[in-house]
Amino acid sequence: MSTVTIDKSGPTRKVKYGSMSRDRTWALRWSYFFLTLFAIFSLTPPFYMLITSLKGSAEISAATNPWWVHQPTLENYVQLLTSNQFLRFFWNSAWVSIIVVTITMLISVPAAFALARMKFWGSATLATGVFLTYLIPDSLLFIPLFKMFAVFGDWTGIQLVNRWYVLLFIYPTLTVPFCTWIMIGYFASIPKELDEAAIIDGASWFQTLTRIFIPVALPGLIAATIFAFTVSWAQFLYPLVFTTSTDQLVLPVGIITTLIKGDVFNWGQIMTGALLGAAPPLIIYAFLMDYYIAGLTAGATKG
Amino acid sequence: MADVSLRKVVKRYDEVEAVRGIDLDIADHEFVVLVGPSGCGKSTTLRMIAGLEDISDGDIMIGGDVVNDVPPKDRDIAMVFQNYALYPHMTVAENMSFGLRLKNYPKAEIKSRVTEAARMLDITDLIDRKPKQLSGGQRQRVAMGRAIVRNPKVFLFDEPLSNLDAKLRVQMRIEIKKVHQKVRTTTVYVTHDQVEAMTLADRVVVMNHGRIEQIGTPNELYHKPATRFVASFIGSPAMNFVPCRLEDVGGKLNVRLTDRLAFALPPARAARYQALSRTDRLLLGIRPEHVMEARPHAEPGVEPFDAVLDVTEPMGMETLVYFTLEGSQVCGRVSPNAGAQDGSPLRLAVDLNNMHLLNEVTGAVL
Repeated sequence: MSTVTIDKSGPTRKVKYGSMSRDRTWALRWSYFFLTLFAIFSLTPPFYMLITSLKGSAEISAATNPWWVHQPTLENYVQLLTSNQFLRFFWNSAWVSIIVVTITMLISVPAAFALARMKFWGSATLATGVFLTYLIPDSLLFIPLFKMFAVFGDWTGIQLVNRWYVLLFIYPTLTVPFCTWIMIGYFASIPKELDEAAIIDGASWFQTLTRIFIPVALPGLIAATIFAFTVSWAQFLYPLVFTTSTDQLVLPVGIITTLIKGDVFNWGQIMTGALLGAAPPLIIYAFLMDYYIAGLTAGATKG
Repeated sequence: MADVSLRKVVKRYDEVEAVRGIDLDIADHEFVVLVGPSGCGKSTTLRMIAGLEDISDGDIMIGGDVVNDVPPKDRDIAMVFQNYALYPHMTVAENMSFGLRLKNYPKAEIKSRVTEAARMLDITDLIDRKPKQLSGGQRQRVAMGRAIVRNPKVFLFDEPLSNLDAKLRVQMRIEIKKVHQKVRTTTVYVTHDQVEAMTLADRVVVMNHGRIEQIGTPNELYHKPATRFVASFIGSPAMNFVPCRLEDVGGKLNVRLTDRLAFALPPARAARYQALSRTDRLLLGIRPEHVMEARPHAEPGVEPFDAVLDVTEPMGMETLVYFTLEGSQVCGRVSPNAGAQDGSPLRLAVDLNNMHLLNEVTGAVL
């Protein structure tokens, strides 16, 4: 048998114990540095809004420190929340958003399922086309859209311009393409065998969608819902163009058209209104954040 | 329960023919395994039987009815997939009962069928779990349970054990065989693993390049392969092939391997090969178990020779030895006590009673 030689020279290079964790520490320090920077950058405007909303109009116009409240007051909140007009804007926004989200989901989920799974002639091109429509900016679309609704009104006598429900036709042009795109990605990440198993089990396409795909893709569905809600809630240009009467306005437009009178800015109430308007999406994100992230990243990692 | 027939079935993808005219009759209760290398068309064939792929030409019959245009759900088949394809949001019981619930079976009937299948597969304790809480083997049992509760005419298995580790695969193989012994449903099973094919099948269908190479019982395929492809695909380690030619020496027929090595054929073989041309380029096909250590006493048809071993592989109950003949590597199986060592010579013997002779050009077994 061969003899065993034992190497006694040992390692020639000095072993750096803990070098991995030292790299990691620095990586963490840098990431916290930039995270802090980013947090300050993005939280400054809401903080400024909060400070201003707690000031009376006298204190706002006085040359005091803008970052501090000397005489905090809830006067702005009381005025807005007791104003029928503001509540009207709020309800208009809520209704529009909820109905738009419903319409969007009813269209984009079956559309995404069809485009992702029911391979038909031109389905791939159509899927890309859906996404491309999303790339057309609303600032380009609002003039032809306005013209269309005006002509439609002339022809049929059904007046849609300056009615809050005209937004139900317009917002889906923004939400449907993007939500369909998200859902296509999500559905595509579901293994092919799953729908084949369902089909062999005797499910129709519709049953496969409702009983397999929707439950399995629920995180993606929630992400798409949040997106659709945020877009409808925060939309500014379309409602500004299409609605003018005070009782038809949604929150973002209502705030600036009623609280800015000529060159008089009611800053306290503007800030309060904006802050209250930002609350619903904020609450939704806070509760569904995990789903939202899972939904947006799912296609990337799931095999 | 039903028989399955394929008549000149073709599958074309644009220009490529994945399946090139297959004829196959599967009897009621039979367990048939389609086996072949990847891309041979075995999975496509199975998916055409399932109705997941359209057929480009030919007919598929289940229970005597042509099902070419019948959708999968009306073919009364059940399929088990390689990646299990369990519905992740449903419990084991819900997974198994999904098909029955879609068909509005009475609740009591569903419950009794699920309970029975769970008992048969030994997954009764897991019935309320979700798939992600199960191991690979358990998931595959659930997938089989989902097929069993439907009580279909035909079971289709698409490489069901490929995702399992080697040990579990052997165990599940036995489970599948047990289940088939109990339910006796006609089964078509696709695998690339010839061991699975041999151990499970009543009959094995060996496929290559979209065609059937040979259909037969495991023993027929092993001992009487029709082509070089079947001979080399079935059996592990694979059959050895050594270039050779026939020659007449003193009224006897010899098979000559090298200038220095030739064997006299046993009488039965000599009679069979007598008519062959002496100039044809032939291959001697011999399985490793028929190349063994030389015994002290002569046996008819067993011819000794000397070899220098390149490599030896001790397997415990036997040792595999590898050596080179005319540029071809040859594998033999010797007793662990035969004294085989890497690089050393060993007296071996070849059992020509079990030899095959192949045409080197056509690959046909003669």
